[in-house]
Amino acid sequence: MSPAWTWWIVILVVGALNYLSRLSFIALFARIEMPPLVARALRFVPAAMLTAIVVPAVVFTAPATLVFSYTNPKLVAALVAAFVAWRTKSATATMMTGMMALWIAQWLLREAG
Amino acid sequence: MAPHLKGLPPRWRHASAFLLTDQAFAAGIRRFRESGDQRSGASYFLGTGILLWATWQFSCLIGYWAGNVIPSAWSLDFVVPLCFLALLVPTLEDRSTRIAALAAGVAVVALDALPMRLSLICAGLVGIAAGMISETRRRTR
Repeated sequence: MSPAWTWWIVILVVGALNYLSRLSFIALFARIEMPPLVARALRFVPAAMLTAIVVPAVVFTAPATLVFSYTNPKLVAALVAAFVAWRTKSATATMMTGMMALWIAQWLLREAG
Repeated sequence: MAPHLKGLPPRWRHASAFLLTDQAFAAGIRRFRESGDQRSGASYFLGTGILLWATWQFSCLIGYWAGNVIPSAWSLDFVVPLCFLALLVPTLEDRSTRIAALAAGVAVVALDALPMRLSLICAGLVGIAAGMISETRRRTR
């Protein structure tokens, strides 16, 4: 089997698994009643999961290198962006100010260091 | 998402599952909660999902052609956590959700050594548990 074929098979299988994992809950709870405990837990999924995604991308400057100071430009930018997100509730404004804050913080660090 | 899609025709549910992404979820869930009308929520979600899907495919094409032209020093990949941050902040609506986020944030750093990015799932579960405990304590008080 040629390598190109192998890749296509991998892509299709991973895609199917991904789709089925998303469909599973939707299909399951269309048939059965959702247990109250699960329904209560659902409310916390966005806050918990999104934080778990965002935090590592911000506080690690390299694998297993935790930087909790102003020398981490990503941390500075994320704080600015979080403030903008809180005040404006606009994703566009958050991403734009976040990127600008990141570039400014990186530039300041280069100038200072 | 499942409780909101319940009762829709199976064809709609299957299409929704295909279009379900973090961003489509974040944009759609608010509409579902605010408008009591399930069909309006679902059509809003499908519209968002289709638009996001099309933009995603188009952006992949641009990335394929132009990806190597953009210097990595621009740190454009930082847009991804920023986007999630923009989705995260509005979900911190009360004390319990903030505790859930705080616990998940601490846990994801503490569990960073786990293989296969298991820290993500584990921290999510820790956060959900913390939120539920906080909610229970506030109710019983």
